[in-house]
Amino acid sequence: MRRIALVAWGLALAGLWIVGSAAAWVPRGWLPDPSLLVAVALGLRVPGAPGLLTAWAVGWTADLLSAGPLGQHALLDMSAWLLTRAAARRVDLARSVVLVPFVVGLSAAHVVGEWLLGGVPEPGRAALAVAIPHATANAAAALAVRRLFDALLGHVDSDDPLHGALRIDPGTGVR
Amino acid sequence: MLRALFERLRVPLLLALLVGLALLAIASDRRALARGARDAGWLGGFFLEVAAPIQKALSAPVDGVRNTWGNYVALLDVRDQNARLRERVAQLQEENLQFREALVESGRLRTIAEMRSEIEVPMRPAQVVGTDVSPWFHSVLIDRGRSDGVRAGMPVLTETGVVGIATATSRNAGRVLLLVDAQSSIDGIVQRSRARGIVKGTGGDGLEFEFFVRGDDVQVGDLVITSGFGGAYPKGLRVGEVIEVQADPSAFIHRAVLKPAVDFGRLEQVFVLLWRGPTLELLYEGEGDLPDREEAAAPAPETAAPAPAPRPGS
Repeated sequence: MRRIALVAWGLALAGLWIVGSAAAWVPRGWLPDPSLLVAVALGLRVPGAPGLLTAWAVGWTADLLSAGPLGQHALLDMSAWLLTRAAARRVDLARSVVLVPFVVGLSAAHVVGEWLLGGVPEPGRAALAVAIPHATANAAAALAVRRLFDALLGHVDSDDPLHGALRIDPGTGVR
Repeated sequence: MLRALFERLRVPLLLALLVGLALLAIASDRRALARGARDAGWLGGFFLEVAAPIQKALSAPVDGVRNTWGNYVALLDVRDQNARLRERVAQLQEENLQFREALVESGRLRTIAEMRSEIEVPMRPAQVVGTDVSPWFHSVLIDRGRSDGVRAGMPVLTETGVVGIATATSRNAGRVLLLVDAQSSIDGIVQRSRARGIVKGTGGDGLEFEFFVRGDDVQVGDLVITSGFGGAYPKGLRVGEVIEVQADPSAFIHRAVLKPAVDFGRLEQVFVLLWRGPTLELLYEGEGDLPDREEAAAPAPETAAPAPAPRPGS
């Protein structure tokens, strides 16, 4: 389990570094939020306390690489993990056609959360001009991040009790 | 049975703990920011230290291509530009002479000279190696840190004006909160009329200048400079130009929209003023002594660049 957590954290960290470098030449908002997407991938694959703790750690790492208030990403990414777990009990998030709109909705919820915590300046046209491309970028990258995460998990110790064993069945849910 | 109960409550308990910890961190960070000081702590410092070289390496190929292309395009235009600049220099020299004459006559040259010496403090040039990972916050990562004399609370500039303030430093890297960030606010004055107000970041690409109605005169085209009050920035640094005045006669506070003096979308090299205002000096007291002016200026000639001074007549 520790290795899975490390893989998730490493993936988020690499993503954050890439986004932090690319943001200099990509228009604002057009880059995905790696910590959010890893939190979603974790929600799909890692249940219980380890998943929750890893999502929190991923968010905390994003906080340390941002000028936003410390703890904000941690709280929001943890919420993303919880929402993903809850949604996975009702719908098959493993399917792309479900995952993409879910991530769009989650990105919108993320913006509302940031606004409530004081991160987004003011709701309005300027905020939408960032929020819409950001949600689009998140949706576009969600599948890639999930697949990358799954592929990386494939290299993790196969003795891990979760390795390749977790299936999410709509209606039954996984605890 | 107790164990079974603990197993059942493990996730909710952990959730409560983590939510509490995050909320506590947010509240404490907000309090620190309201005071004007923020401390990255050892963990934040570690992340800065690791992130700076990696992000610099990741940016290098794209920066290389951009610079090569930029230099090529610039070369094509250089002859025309040179002629235009020569003409402009001559024109400015003439203007300068006239201003000097006028200033000497009005006895204000000494005041200006004092102000210049006040803001001519040692600087460290720094390269921007990364930006904020969140689209909602505006900060940059620079490749200079405590080993270069850079400390949290020091103002950061370019040759065109104020960039922001260093909020966290590690040994070899630093994070700079940009002026346009919604968490930023500084005391400014209109250079022409001396109307005083607060310059706030909008969280977008612009700035907002809030000023009091009574007797204040702010017009489109006015230059807003730092006032020196508030203790974070020295007086006289360019902040932005008024592009719109939103004067509501019924409101006590008027607002003006500023175009920042700095193009935040193209930040590559910045200068860190090795100076910390008295307020921030108090707040960041535990962070170690600042280098002396002479000491900071000694190692390299690069450290003695003058700050962007206000135009005469202020």
